[in-house]
Amino acid sequence: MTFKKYVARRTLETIPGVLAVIVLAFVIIHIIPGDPISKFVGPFETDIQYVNMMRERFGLNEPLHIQLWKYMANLLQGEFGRSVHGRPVLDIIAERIPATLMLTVSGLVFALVVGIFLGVAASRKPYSVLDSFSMSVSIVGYSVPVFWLAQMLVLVFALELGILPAGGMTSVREEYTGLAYISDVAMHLVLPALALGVNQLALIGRLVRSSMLEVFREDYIMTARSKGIKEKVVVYKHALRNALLPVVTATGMQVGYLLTGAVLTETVFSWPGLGRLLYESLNFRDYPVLMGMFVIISISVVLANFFTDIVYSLLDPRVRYG
Amino acid sequence: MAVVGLAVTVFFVMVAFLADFLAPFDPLKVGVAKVLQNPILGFPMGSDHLGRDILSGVIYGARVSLLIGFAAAGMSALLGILIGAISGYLGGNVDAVLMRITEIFQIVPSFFLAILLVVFFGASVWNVTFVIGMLSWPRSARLLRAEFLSMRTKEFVQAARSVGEKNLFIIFSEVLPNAIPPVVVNTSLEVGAAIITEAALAFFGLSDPSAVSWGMMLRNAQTYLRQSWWTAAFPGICIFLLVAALNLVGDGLNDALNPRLKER
Repeated sequence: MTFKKYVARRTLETIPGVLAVIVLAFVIIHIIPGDPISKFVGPFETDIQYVNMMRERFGLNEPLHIQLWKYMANLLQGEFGRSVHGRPVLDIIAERIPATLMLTVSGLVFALVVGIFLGVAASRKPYSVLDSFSMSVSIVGYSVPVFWLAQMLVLVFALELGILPAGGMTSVREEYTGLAYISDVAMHLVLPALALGVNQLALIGRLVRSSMLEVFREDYIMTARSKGIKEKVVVYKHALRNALLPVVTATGMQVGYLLTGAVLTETVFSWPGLGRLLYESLNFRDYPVLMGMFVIISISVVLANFFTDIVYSLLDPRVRYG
Repeated sequence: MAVVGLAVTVFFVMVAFLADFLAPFDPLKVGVAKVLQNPILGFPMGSDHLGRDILSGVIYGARVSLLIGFAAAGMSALLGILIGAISGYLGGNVDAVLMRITEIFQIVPSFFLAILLVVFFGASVWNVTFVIGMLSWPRSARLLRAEFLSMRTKEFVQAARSVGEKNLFIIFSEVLPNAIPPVVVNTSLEVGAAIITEAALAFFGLSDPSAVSWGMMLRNAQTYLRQSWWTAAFPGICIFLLVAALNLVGDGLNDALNPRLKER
């Protein structure tokens, strides 16, 4: 089918996913022990009349499906409630998104660049010592707990060697502007992005290697070689392009794990993003913010999968007929 | 390499079993050592900010990690096999419904859902195990279902049916033994993943306070990183070694059970 039709179809298929997230959040809120009012009121003794008034006000006496409808309507209008500190949840979350986005994208770019390079290098000499070694290294890279790696990086590079900052997004001592600001943030970004990228790097490296090996067996590669094209061109221009397709899908599917890693890394580096917010809200038991984060992050992952599918269908039109 | 992995795993299992004999102190006992004591004789891994012995914590932590890791992976495997087998064998509407349910669990990023569930239902060893197990079965289910779907039409199944064997019997004693290898491999990788998830949850403070967890130790270490590298280095290196070992074993199992893929 045409691209437009495919996009339309995928959009339709994504909507149930988004709705499922919202329904799931609603279910969680209502199955937790204790009712929402007791969470709102806290562990204090409260007048029963106040509790009943609150129930009325929040519509908790209405039938469940009406509550669900109202919940959905609220969410879709951006009404996520207020945090225990009083500020609207959506505002709190929205102001943290750019930092997390910056970190996640940087980590991913790092993982892709290094992972693809290593994967290609390993695929050119399969079953060699270098190859077996890099495969074991990739398993190791995949097994490292990202928050521990982050702590070790801080210890070595920031505290012992002192060449990179130990935390935060900007220096506390000076207020930079312009280019100096950008380079300051970049310096602070190095270690967190490095820590975040290692897990993904290992996976991408493996995937690129096996994908390249499969592509190398294709007829058109043999044709290219027999035409006398330089090996480097064969590898990078012909093979890599096609080998990268599964990498696109895999990376898209990994967004959830990438966000998980970002959240953990941010906690170690005091990076002012969603991860830090999650850590703080957990400490304060700030349930509205926690629920809001869950909904937003889950929907983001659903959307990320959607976009990955669209991009993939652009790269490989055969997918649209699936 | 897989053998190395197996050896390391067995080592940790032994440590966990013999924790009561190996650990010099009660890991939760406050003040057995000077606060933030760096590694010296008597306290080879130093102490944390409350004067608790890190070595003892590391030894007992192995118990929690291995327990939760294997239990959660086991639960996920059982559930996955059950749902995948039924879905793959029966097909049709049953399959469609079960797959929709599976999709819902797969769409939502599991770590965040796990955080919510543990926050709301409380962080005990059992709860954490249950939550991790409940969130990782989809992968096993899909793998098994794929195998079942391809085996449904094979001759040995038709032969079994024609002899009059009941469906349930066919599922579990005919098809399952042939379909299980990918699930075995996946489960061995799930153990490592479960251990990391448990450590990550503990890092966020969502662990059983009465059980020492490596993740919890890393959480405590975070505040004192500047003064005491040992509080973070030792527990973390154990997580890393154990998970790497388990993944090597899983990889070895993959090579052993999927010989077709080796022809390259």
